[in-house]
Amino acid sequence: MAFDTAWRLLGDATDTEDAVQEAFLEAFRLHGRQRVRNWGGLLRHLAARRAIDRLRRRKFPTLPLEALTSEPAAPASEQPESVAVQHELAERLRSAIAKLPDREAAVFSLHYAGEMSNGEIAETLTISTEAVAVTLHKARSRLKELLGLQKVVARRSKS
Amino acid sequence: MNRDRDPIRDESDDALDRLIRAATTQLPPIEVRQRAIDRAAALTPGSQALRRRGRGRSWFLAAAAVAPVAAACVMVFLMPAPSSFGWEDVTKAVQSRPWIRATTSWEGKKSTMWLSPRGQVWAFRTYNWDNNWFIFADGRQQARYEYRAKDQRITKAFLGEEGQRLVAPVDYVSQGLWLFGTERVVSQRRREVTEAGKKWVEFDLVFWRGDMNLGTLRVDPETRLPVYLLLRSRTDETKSVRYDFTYPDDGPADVYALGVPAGTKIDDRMPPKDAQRALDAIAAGRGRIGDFRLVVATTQEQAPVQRQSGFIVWRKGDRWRIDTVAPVARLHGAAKPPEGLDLGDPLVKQLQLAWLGRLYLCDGRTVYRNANPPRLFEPERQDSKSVTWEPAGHIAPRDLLSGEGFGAMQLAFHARIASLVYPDLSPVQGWSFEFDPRPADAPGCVLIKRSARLATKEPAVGHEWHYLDPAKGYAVVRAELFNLPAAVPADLKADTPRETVRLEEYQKTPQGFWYPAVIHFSRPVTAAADGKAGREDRPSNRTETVRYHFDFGVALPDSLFATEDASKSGK
Repeated sequence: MAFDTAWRLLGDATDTEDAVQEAFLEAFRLHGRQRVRNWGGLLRHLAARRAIDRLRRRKFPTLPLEALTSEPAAPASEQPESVAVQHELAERLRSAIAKLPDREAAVFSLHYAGEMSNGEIAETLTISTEAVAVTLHKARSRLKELLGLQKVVARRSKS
Repeated sequence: MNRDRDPIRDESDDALDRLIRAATTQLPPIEVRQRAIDRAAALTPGSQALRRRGRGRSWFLAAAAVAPVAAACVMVFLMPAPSSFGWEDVTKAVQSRPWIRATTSWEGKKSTMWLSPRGQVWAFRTYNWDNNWFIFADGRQQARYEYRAKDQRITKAFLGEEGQRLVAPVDYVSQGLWLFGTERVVSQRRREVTEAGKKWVEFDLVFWRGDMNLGTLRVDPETRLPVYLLLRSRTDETKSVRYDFTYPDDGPADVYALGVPAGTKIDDRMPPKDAQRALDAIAAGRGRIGDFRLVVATTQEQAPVQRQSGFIVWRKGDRWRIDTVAPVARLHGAAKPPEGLDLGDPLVKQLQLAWLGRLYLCDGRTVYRNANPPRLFEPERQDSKSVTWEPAGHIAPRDLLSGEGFGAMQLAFHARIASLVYPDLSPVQGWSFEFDPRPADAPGCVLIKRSARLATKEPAVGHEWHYLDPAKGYAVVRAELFNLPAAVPADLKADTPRETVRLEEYQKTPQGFWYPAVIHFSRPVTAAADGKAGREDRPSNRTETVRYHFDFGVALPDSLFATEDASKSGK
């Protein structure tokens, strides 16, 4: 729901609490002006928006991307990943989401953090399902570019 | 996300998906979810749509659903003891009074609170708002009485651990807090002010939750008694509420004396005596833990990789510290522990864990977190100079061994062993409570079942079943957490998606503290949450094994809890 959406985008307790509260406040204000048909979708949408706002205000450290995106070299049982790695990977992605245009950030967030289908996103944002699919594709492409993932993959292929 | 269905995918898509999985599979601490729900609920007066889920919360904080300020207020006198003022004198002065009364009026809504530390009574009422709400907590009866005008009846329920802290706050002085309620102080700063020629001592406080979590407590240096508490919003400078304290000779003797109509019937919901015995034993078990060094090693089995992480926790009285460790094989560089730091634990050696860096530090009064947390791929940055301490906004000193969980310490979730082994299962507002002295599926154990309506679109109920072993001091040996549609009876079937926690290989210290050496977590994970396509797929299970190795005899030098760098960078 709204909490999970904000948490996955922010990964920080204080920010998540604030974003969820702001989303609820905004939802109740909207409710006072118009009938809300889909509370779940609305809350996730608002939570995502507030979370993205907070991401854009955050200062992200610069991390060594290649190390973070590489697969473990040794067998899984001998080469475990840690919570710290997961945290850093997530932060890297969040820094890129913060740079997405509004529409792409919203669609990407609702799809992956809000676990909404394209149809649900379309209904929430009052756009077509096709537009959601196109926007999602654009968002992924832009994220890969922002994160330099193609370059990393290309370098690894050469080496 | 599905490679088979998308021919234009390449390796960069796989890399992006790994990042997405990393962000979407991090689990929040339960209490964080709870606080977020509480804060949201505070926006909806009277709303029944937003119920809470998660570990027990203060019953009187059910007020948060109606009046967040009233909830946050009823509150704290605290205090850590700055020697210059003689806080012990303040404590003694307050304790010497038969009654303490706090009154407030916020946006025209008046409420009053009474406390008698000697009589073990805490009481609260509103005046002509929120259905005229009355609470009378009686420590001697271990009961709380609650009345709302709309219900036309008084509910009598078990006081519970948080209620106990309300009626007997002075018992908690040893924990560094002088609690006058259950709101924890996460930081405080003392100063002196002069107003119209009179000197006052004021304490700037930060409470652990809520929007109105900034406070100023004014104390009269002549009487040593608090005069008022001013609470302010951290997001809206125009929002504030003031509580004025007086110290009358008499106070309410029972719930009727608060103003509840005489003759109102009492609905007795006290749990049976054997359930009360179990709840008391849980609290006592947590209190026997003592000082320790604890190594926590977590292994998460999840294809295609196995994740591993760990923590070292040191606790000495009110002070504690949490560092993180990592497998040597993953370190890209040298990670040397600070000179003199003993990492001789067998578990550390067995798992080839190396010191990685510092996460949290509590100096007995304030909890700090490292704003520059350890980085696995840059461990050379983790020397002591790179540690940047800042006060941890939502973590209180007592959170380490709290039965309620671990606050906002999401980076050290599994170090919250006290809340896993000895959780506070006291009946709370909004939760049903059921005690089974002889569960058929766990001979020798007792079972506490709790459930609450969830804030979901479709009506659903969250269930928590805790199996306690009386032979192990009523420690939890198994817990089952699951959700069901509201219309479905609370029955745990084999195919019910649930989170299962199994606590095994129990050991006992000479002080009588029972603890598990291993805890197995099994959580359902939906395909979408796991970064895979197929949202309609049934959830699979993710397992996690956490090993705990206590050492109660290890030396705990004060240098382990040195706060010099914390006070320089954080205070």
